[in-house]
Amino acid sequence: MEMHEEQLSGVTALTVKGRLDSTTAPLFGQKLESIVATPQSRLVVDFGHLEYMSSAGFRVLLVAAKRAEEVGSRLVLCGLSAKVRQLFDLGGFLDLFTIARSRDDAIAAAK
Amino acid sequence: MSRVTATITGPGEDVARVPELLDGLARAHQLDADAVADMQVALDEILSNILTNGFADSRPHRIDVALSVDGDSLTAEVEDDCAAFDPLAVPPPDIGPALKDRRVGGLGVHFVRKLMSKVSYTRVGARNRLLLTRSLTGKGGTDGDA
Repeated sequence: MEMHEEQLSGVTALTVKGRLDSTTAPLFGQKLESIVATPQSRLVVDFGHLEYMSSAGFRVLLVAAKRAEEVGSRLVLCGLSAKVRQLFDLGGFLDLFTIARSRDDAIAAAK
Repeated sequence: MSRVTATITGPGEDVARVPELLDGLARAHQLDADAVADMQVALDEILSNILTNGFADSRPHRIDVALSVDGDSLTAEVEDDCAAFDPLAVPPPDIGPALKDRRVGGLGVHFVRKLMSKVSYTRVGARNRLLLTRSLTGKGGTDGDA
């Protein structure tokens, strides 16, 4: 798993590449926490280069989303492939997260 | 038939090698990417479950993993010498609640059931034996609508 972080006019865009599994999820979780824990922060997570996500990845994503809600931060996801979208669907997560159709839409929604 | 194996004695390097092993097998046989992703998720769920629960008694344990491609199916055999545990007996998660009440417990096994074409558990002597099969021609899902 690799992460690439960009700052775009007040929004942090985090691109995740490779596998999000029990080995890599803790690192992803720390990164999410370090961004959303700042009140009123704006984060877009781009999964466009993600191969798959296991429950370990969903666990840290859920923790970050709850954290964001508590401190008034905004978390928007984008770039879900058909496979990754299926995993969100199976876990009942499609309605739980804000998921945008494109990276541009996600950035607009996060602002 | 092509078969590769790995032995895991604890978290860390050993476990991180399993996805590499499966990727290698997938490349060698040009396996369907969706089937491989499904198996990667299922293996991660099963192995992390064993490491979290089975290894919790602080005794030395080992997990033996064998991945094989045979005809139109991809199979993982996972055997461990931990206390008897049937992951298929784990109740399905409640995926209804709103964000603040959501838990991820049980989600891993739910993924395994939904993504695999066939899952079977047997206790053989002092070992747990789990067989995961993903069809390489159709979609996964052992219980219906996946």
